[in-house]
Amino acid sequence: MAIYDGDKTAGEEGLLEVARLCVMAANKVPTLTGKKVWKTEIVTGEDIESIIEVLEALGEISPDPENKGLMGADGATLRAILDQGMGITLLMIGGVDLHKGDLNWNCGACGFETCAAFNKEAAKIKKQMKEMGATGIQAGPQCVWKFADYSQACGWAAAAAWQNNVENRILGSVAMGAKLIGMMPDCFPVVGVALGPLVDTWWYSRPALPRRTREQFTQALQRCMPQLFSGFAGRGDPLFRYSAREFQRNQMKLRPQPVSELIAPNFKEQIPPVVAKIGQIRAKSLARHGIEEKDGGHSLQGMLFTLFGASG
Amino acid sequence: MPDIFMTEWPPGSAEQHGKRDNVIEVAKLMANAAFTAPQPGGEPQTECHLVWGRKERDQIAKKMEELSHENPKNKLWKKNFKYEAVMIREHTDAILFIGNHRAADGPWEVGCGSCNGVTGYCGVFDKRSTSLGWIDMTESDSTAMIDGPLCTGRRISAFGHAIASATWIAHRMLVDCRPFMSAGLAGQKLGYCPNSAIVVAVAASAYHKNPYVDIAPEYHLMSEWKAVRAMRQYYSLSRQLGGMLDYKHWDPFLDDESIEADKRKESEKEG
Repeated sequence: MAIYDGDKTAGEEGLLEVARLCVMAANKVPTLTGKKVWKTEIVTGEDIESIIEVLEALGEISPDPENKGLMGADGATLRAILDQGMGITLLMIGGVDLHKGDLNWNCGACGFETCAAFNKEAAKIKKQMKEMGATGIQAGPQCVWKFADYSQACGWAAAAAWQNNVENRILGSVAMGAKLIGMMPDCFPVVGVALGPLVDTWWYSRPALPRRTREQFTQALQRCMPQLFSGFAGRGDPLFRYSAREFQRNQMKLRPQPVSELIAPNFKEQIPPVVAKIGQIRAKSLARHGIEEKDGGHSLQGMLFTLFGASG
Repeated sequence: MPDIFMTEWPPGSAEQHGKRDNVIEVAKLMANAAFTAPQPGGEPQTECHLVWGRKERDQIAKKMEELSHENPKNKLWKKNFKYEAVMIREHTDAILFIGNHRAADGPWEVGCGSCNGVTGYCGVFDKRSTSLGWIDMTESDSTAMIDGPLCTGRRISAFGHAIASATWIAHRMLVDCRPFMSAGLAGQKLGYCPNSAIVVAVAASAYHKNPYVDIAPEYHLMSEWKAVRAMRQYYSLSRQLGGMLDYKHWDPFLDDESIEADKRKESEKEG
């Protein structure tokens, strides 16, 4: 007979076992197309560390330095799990061949009249990506029905985690981090399902992040829901009702502001060193698994293209 | 206490409806699950329509059969639509239509690139008529079966999660179910989930064999109801073969002597 530390065994073998159950659930989903358009990988240990490092690096170039943006915040939340010695397992679910219109349904949902027209455009995009040195990745166009099936698989995986009473969260950031270290190179999109830690509402509360102040919440609300702060519009130019009394003395008005004015002027200059850092993390990760990067294939540039977009 | 007798045959009977009503309750739970499914941005975008009843199912099935001819370049499409029409008509207890009402005119403006391949740019806007930053669907003149493009990376993602949660609940309740594009398209044309740009029908059934999997080839001709119909067509022939006297006085499975003997016994009693 052996005695196990409950939290430790549940946080390690237990979460790994639930990850396996999630994969089983994903593969059992009743599909619309009758095709399996996803694949899965389970990430533990050092590879989680590498993903966190990438997210932390990306957090350095966030336009929201205080909270380090989506990437940095998720990185910090994951880092806290490791620092506190809690268990965490990541499940990656990647879409396979979603940009191939091979159903021949010709339904028009993708915006093209036929699957053939869809494939023609997909080939054009692929060529463009290759010319830009961004091979191995293709955002779209993607078949609507295959995408729905891929999303169904993600849904069943998350439901399996939920039914096993495991704290979980679907994270796009983790998926981006995984792709940037070379995981699932042929898949797009990829989502990461964080399984654990064994704490209720961890991913809701995110205790590792700094608490926002009343002022920060107020500003966020005013930015996100200006309609709640709009004054009487009778003059065709309503006042910004930011405070019940103050707005009458020191008047302000709602005005659009170009995003470029909100981004730090040296934002683009900050990108190259971060990209170089991610390249090092990626090389280390690939070497750990004995994977040799294909020449020109599945390039880091391709991955970063999906992050920063064509203009980046 | 009233008792509820439940069985699956004959279709349309009170006892079959007793069983069907259980599936309707499950379908309601499926709708709940669809609404609580994880959605990118946490934005409300799902609508559900629960349908049952023989007339309604038949109307949907007929529409599916009509749509089976809409894609002549794909023979499998035609078969799928015809087969699935039978599944809806014969053995489906309840149909839960799930739609996404933001897929066409409310894309999630994050520029994921899933719809058009270019990251950083929300391509749905390019192919739509717009004004004041909004997509104007009243200007759409699409002749396609589904009025695309739809927001693939985010709305269809949420759409898939909603379907997944609904089917998950059905499986947990051990009710057979399957999501259908065909029945969803038919339902959409008939006005179910009226605000949605894309609709899927999740058919649910409690039957002795999964009606969405265990089917015969040429199912639209070889279905259970067709078999019953064929059997009824010729059943009356058995009594039209001739050589049958009035059954009140004679039966070919009884010999004449025993019938006469019974008659004599009765007469003697009376005498």
